[in-house]
Amino acid sequence: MTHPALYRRILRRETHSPRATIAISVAIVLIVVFAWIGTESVLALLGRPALLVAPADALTSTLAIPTALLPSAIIGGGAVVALIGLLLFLVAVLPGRRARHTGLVGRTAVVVDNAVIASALARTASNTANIDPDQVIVTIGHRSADVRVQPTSGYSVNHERITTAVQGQLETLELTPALRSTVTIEQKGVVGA
Amino acid sequence: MNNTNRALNRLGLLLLGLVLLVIGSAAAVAAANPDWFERWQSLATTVETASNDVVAATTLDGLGQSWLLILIPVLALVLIVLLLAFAFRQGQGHARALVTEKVTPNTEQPSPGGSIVVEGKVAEQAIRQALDSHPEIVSSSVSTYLVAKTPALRITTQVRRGASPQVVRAYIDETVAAWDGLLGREVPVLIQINGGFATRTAKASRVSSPSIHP
Repeated sequence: MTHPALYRRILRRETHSPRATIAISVAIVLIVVFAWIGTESVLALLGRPALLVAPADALTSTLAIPTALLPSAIIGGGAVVALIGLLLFLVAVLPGRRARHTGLVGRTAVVVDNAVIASALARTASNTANIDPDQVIVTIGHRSADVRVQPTSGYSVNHERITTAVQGQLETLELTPALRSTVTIEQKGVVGA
Repeated sequence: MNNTNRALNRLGLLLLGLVLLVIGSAAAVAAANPDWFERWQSLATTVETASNDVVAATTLDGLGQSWLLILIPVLALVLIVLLLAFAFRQGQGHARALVTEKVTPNTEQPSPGGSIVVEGKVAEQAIRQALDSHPEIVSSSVSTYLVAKTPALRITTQVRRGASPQVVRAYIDETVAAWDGLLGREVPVLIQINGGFATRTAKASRVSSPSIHP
C-alpha cells in the first residue's frame, strides 16, 4: 500500500454523500432572499414603489403576527418551519451513506456500486441453479445480501449449492463492510422459462 | 475525489436547520400557550416602538431616510458574494498535471535545470484505451484529481450486467501496473466499478452465460 492515509480519505469520501446538491439549493434560495431584501431597501431609499413589500411594512407586519393571526395559524406555520429545520438538521447530521462498498486496498483502492455486486451475485446464483439471471432477485443492504431465487416450474434447485456459491463469491470480493448472504427459494416457480 | 468542503456544507445546513427549528417551534409553542402568547404580543409592541426609535435615530438629515437602508443592501451584497463563492466552490479539484518534477541545476555537473510535467491526459488516454478492450467493461473514463495536494487518478468503469467485480478489478490492476512501469512511479489510483443504466440495458457477456436447461 503506497498511500494509506490518502486512500482512507478517498474511500470515506466516495462512500458518503457530499451534501452538495442540498447545500447549493439552500444557497440559491438564500441568494434570492438576500437579493430581494437588498433591492427593496434600495427602492425604499430612493423613494420608489416597492417590488412586493417595502422594508418598513415588512417589519410592521412581522411584529403584527401575534395580533393579526389566529394562534392555530401560528402553530401550523411554526410547525412547518420547524419541520423544514428538522429535515435540514437531519441531512447535516446523518452519515448519508451511498449505495457502495469498498474492496481491499492494495496498489489501488476500489469502490463497487451495490448494483454491480447484486448483478454479479445474481449471475453466480443463476449459473449454479442453471436458470435465467432474470429469475434471481438480489437486494444489497449495508451488511446484507438477500438472494431470492425463483425456480423454473417443474425443476428443483439446490438451496445449499446456491448458498455456497454466493457465499464463496462474497468471500472473494472481500468487501467492507462485509455482506452476510441469505438465499431464499420462492415457492412459486416461473412457467415456461 | 473532488475537494468539496463537506464539513462546511454540513455546518451550513446544520446552522440553518437549527435556526428554523428553534424559530418554528418557539412560535408554535408560544401560540399554543395563552400566557406566553400574551407576553409575545406585548413584546411585539415594545419592539415596534423601539424600532421606530432606531429608525428615527439613524435618519440622515440630508437624505430624510435611515442609513440602515444603505447598510442592509451592502450586507445583503456581501452575503450574496459569500454564498456564490460557496456554491461555486463545490466539485472543484480537477488537476492537469499528474507528475511535476523540478530539476535543480547541479553545480558539480553542469546541467541547465528546469521542470518536467506529465499531464494527466497521458494517463487518461493510455489507460482508457487498455480498458475498453475488456469484454466485461462497457465504458470507462479516467480523470486526474488533486487529493490533499497529491495528484491521483480516478478510473470509473461501467461494467456489463453480471460482471464479477473482482475480475474487472484484477484486470484494471494489471493495466495500472503496466502504466506504473511506463511512468516509473506509483500515483494513487481509485477504481470505481459502476452499474447504472448502461449495465441494466447491456447484454450479459455471451461467453460466460450458461445454457439455460439441459
